[in-house]
Amino acid sequence: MKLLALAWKDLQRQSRSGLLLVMALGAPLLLTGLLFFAFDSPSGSPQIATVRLAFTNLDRPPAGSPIAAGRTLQALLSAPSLASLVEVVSVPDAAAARAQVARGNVGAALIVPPDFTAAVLGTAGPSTVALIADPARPLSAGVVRDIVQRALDTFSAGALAARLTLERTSGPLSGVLAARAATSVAQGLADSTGAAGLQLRAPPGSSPSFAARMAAQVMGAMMIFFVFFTGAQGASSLLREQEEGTLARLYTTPTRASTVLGGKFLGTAVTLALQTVVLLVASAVIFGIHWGRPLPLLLATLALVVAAAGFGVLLLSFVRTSRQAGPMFGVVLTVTGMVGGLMTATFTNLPPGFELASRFTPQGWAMAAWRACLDGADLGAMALPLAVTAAIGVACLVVGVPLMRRRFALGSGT
Amino acid sequence: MTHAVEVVGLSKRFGDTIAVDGVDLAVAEGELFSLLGPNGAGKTTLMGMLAGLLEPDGGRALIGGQRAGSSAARALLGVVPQEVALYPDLSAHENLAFWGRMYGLRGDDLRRRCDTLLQVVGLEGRRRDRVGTFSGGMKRRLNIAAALLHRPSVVMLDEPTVGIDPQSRRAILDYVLRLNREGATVFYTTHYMEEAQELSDRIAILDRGRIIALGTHDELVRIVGERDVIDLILGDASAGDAVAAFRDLPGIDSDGSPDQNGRLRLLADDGETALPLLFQRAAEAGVSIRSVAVTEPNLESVFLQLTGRALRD
Repeated sequence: MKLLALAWKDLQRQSRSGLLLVMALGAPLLLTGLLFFAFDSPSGSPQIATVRLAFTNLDRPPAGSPIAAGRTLQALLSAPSLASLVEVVSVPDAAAARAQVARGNVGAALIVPPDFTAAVLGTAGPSTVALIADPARPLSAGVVRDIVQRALDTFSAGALAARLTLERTSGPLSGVLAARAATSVAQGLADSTGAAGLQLRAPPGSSPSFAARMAAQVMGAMMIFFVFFTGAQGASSLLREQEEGTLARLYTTPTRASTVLGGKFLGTAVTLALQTVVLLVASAVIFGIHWGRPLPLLLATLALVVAAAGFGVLLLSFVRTSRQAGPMFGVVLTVTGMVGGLMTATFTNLPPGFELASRFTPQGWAMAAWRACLDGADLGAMALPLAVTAAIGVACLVVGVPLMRRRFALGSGT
Repeated sequence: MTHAVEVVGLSKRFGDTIAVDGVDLAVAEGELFSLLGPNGAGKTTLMGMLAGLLEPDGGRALIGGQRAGSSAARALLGVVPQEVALYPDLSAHENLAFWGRMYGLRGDDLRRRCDTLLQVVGLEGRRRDRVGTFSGGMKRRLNIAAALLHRPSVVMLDEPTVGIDPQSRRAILDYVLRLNREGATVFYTTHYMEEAQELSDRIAILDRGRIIALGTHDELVRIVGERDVIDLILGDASAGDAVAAFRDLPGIDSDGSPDQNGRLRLLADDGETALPLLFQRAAEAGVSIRSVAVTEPNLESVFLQLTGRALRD
């Protein structure tokens, strides 16, 4: 009962702090809104400039091949339905393509290798299509990469489907027969895709609009960033109580120190959960974000709450006064947030080292869990980021709680 | 017999500083007991140990026979801290309701106690207003109310009138007296001599962590004797003749010779009747008196006598 009274008191106080409300709810929604409305349009199509794409087709189809996959890919990318997104410019060789990107004449370059058709037909090993992006234009690279990936998936799926179908109906096939069958299905699939117009389609379970998808990434990142701030703020309310004398007064009542500290933690955890839920609902209503299925969403929320509350408790052990807490939390949470990839959530071509570094921060793991949730990943795929996010929170608590008890419990001069 | 508060050999040190040094005292149930001492005497440290906020380095403290700091002792206590310890962003009623819950109250009982105490401290009309908007005196009154919700048998008030206006101070003192009349044992710390004198059944004078005197007001005053003190400042030429001139006046004695500033201290059985005689004899002897001050014996003079320092030094 006292535990609930302590938590309720903290919730009341926090709900009356204008600054906290702005930081916890206003800032993430505002930052996401700025981006969303910059890219959103009444039609639901993205309002972004057409990306110029240098296309270098080095593909040399095998003799007698019924298709030229390189040319088909170029045709797909040049389809009228993509004209508002991509303008394909033919460039004779890889060096010229790279030079165009380097000079900024194009947003990205795509280099199709000589064995591309052979790879599609399954008569050669895997082949690599190179996408060269201008690092200063991450959005262009993201758009092109998305479209190309879908085109390549179409080829791969067609070839695989054909091989399987024929194997089941006719038994093991000779290499030549298999190649012909794959060619036929891949061509059909490619033609039908081209006829229908290659569309930007959202992955299952995520938002249909481009702006909403982008907003979801930003909103997820901002939510994590500010939830961690609220967690630290909640923990530092102990410092405020110590300075205001109310903590000492609490200890003059017949209330155990563990109840006082437990009530604080509960109040912070409930605040964080409420903040997350309000942000999820508000962003779904305002930006049309579909956050994924309920169970993964619930687990991602819980993991985020545990991590943010735990990290806050740990940070608290490094500050002496509430005046120190503001700047210290600001610096630590901004740095760990940046390293965790929260400021670059929409960037798709970050160096691998950056991705690795993000895994050394709780925010990085939390972002991975929310990305998986947004992508509609199943629980198995989400298990690792969820478990690591929650485990970091628990580890912070294991280290931080004894320090907190020693410092804020009785006999400590409070 | 179980005392409301019992302290035996209690001591506490912070680094090299001895804050409380082997204090012994016992407060009877229903007594209004004051701990008087200058700032830094150790009053708040002693109170902190009684409230269970500080672990003593030596000795023991009992509240109603329970070890100070234990849950049972804390349930008997209502502690009013020196600084206002309330939540400024909660209303007066929300504050009281919260502190009541911390003392285990709930439901109708809690509601009734909150309403009663808001009325008693005159804040009924401001029950929904946030405490942050209150004046210093209003906060102090609510600060006291928050310690009384659970009808404690021992109420400890740590300098509750510091820095407030005379009207609020009067209201607080009246309320402390009322509490005591209603049966609560009151343990009151102050550095205001007048408060201790007005309120207390017994007074302990604390200095540098030690109790230097303990008793009723009259008992303490007897330490300096029951005679009034008359301080004269004499004209330059008169200092030498004054002692001889005043020597055989009835009921008046000198405690020495004038100092270099011409200050002469006399002790009189009754200052009021001594003054006319004094001026008459001075006129006859040609002794010039530049100023005169009569002081009845009080706690200030007791403290001065025992420590050589003024209470407010």
